[in-house]
Amino acid sequence: MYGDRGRLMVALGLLSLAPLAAGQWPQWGGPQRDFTVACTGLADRWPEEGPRRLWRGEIGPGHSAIAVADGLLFTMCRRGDKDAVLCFRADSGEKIWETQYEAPAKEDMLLDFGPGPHSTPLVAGDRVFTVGGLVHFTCLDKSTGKILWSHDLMAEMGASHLQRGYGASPLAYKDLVILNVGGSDAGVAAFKQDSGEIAWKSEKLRGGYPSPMIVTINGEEHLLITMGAERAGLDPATGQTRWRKTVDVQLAGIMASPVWIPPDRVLFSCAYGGGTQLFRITAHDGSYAAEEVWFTPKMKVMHGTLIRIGDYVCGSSGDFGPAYLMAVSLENGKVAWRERGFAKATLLYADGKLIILDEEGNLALATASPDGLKVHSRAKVLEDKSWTVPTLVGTRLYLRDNKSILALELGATQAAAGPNAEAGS
Amino acid sequence: MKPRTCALLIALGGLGGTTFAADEVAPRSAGGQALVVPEEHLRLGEPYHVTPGEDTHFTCTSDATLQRVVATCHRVVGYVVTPFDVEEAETPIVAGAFRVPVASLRTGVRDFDELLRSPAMFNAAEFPEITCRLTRVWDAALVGEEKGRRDYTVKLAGELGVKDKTLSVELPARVSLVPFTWRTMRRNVGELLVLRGQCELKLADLGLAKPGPMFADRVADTFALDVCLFFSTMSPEKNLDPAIKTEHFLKQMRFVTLLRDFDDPNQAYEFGRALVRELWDDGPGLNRVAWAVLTEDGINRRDLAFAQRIAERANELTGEKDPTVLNTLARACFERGDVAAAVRWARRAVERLEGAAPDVAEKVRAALAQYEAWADKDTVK
Repeated sequence: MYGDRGRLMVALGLLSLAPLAAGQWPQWGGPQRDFTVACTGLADRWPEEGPRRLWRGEIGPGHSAIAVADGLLFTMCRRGDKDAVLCFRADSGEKIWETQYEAPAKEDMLLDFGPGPHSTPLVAGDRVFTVGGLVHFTCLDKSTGKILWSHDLMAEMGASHLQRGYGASPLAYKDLVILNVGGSDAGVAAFKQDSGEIAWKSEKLRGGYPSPMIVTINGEEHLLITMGAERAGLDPATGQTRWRKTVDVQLAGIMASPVWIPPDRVLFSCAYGGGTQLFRITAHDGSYAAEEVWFTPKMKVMHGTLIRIGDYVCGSSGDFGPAYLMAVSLENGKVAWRERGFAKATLLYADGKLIILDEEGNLALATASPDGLKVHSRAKVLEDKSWTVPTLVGTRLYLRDNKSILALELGATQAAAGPNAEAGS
Repeated sequence: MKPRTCALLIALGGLGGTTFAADEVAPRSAGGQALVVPEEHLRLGEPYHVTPGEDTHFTCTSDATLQRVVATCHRVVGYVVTPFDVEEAETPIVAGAFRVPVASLRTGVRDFDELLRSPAMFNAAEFPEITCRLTRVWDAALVGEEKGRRDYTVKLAGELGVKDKTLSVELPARVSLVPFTWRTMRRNVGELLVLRGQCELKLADLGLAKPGPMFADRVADTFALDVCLFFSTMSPEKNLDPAIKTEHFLKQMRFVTLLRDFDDPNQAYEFGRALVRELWDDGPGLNRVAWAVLTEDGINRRDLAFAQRIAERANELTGEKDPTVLNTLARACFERGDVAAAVRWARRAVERLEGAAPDVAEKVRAALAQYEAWADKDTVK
């Protein structure tokens, strides 16, 4: 009875989504995996009450960030003993689908911050790839949320939940999905996107929270991985190690994703008594090596994001003590400035501005220069603990905490505060 | 307002943060277990907060002809600030301030504790705290360096506030800066600092008269001050548990500060009752308050009926299913002498242990064994 009409409704629905598909944030860290977005038109400041809220919806606990593709948002949360993958409309916050699967926590986990999910979905073509805190690696149909294939990587490859729940986000490479395993069977593994079949497994490495990324060094692609005390570059087509550097064990608790500085430098930052290290990757006769350029114990980024702005890197330094927003020089690691006033924070960079979200839910707009940080606007938009880095598509910012998911308009012409809508989901 | 109430309110400050001039001793922050570090001190470098508890010793020893008295306080709160670039700095400390609750100076002898609080000595009712503000640090020398740890000898000068008098004191000290490592994390998280020092002070210099004939030969004219303070960059008021609202976390801390550190049950329970009204539908929150009243070290007056009422409400809210809440209720019954009820609730707690953490299960079972042993004794009687 509803066949043709239903198909028509679906078609209309898809048509209505089309205009929103101008921007994409299909993975952890955005289009370039560096939390930096090429966009213009952000307001220079916000009204005192904060930027205009477009909608707000309910969500469960978890720190999984929000991926955006074709006008749809994808993220994960926890529902009791299950992981849930959720899909919302970007324009209204309406929930399109939610898929849950069993993932009971293990006895040896530390659950005071919950078992996750911490990992961010990856959208590639018509599929969504997710990894839960218990290392269930799942491929879902983007339109319906139907599970197409899945792997229990703890059972199959001895993957580690890292006590607090798996946290790295998967990476698309050609027809593969690559992810940290940190197991007894493999350090990193690649799977075919269409079938889930294992394409390659790397040498064994301890698990790690930072997400992998692909960089080009000396004309060759390197899969840059950060696993415990190991920093390494692999051939993304085969998983063969191109170079590997073991760092001090105090730097093994690294969680922040590294910063790539073309053509040959990479920066890692670690809290828990760690610090920030800059390596140069050198090539000699087809082989590669990593050399430390400098190390500073002054900047210790825990699970926030690091942003490169010109010759400096900005981040929120601190773990259990006070946190500072700070910048260090890429040339020598010297501290350029420190700014108090924010709890531990995550950062995005767009339109020459830093978008700062601290763990207490304060969102701010600022500009950074070698001389310091200038905060233009600040507003409380989420609850404590807001650890999830926001997502920016065009001038729309998507955020979440452990209870809410919401969209804010940061555009110069639309940022004025107005009626705040609640999403009907 | 009564002097005691007024003095305590000043000492504890407000629940919100305020900027204070650095030439005053900063007030306590919201929970009462740290001081609000003034902006001008924050600009100088990294604040390290005293970690009140067993490893914070503020000890005064009076060695009189007929008695040696050692008064110890584990409840010092305060901070020191180290320069951001301490490696290149002349001194490892550039600012600091402390507060010591008089009521938390304990000798182990009730008469002496009361003497210390009395108007004849520190007059705790009117001046509930001794304060100290660092005014100068000099003669710093790096005397040891190993695996990132740096040891210094320094001379510290400060202004000690005792009752309504301020006097200058000097303290030769040893300062150790200990970086955060996986090993130190087992002791305490954060970058650590330990300050040790000794000096001698005269009662007269503090404006304290020697007590009357009853104590004349039992209190010396001078006493030795020995401090060993343990600091961390992590404030004792940092809420690390996302399941607990920070506002409630701080209020509970403030309640315990009043009850334990200031030994002021009237104000404490008045504050505690207001907190309980806020938490009335929060089972785990009520359970934490009840457990603190029943078990927190150093509390002189425990309102057991208050604790039991709260535990009963928490148990009602959690449907008699939460073993930690049942364990608290059993403890409240036991402390009030109702051993049969304690055994009954503890047995229920043990029945509900499925899925509980092993350390929790062990404690709940041990509590039941203790109550059953008492019940057997009662039966024998």
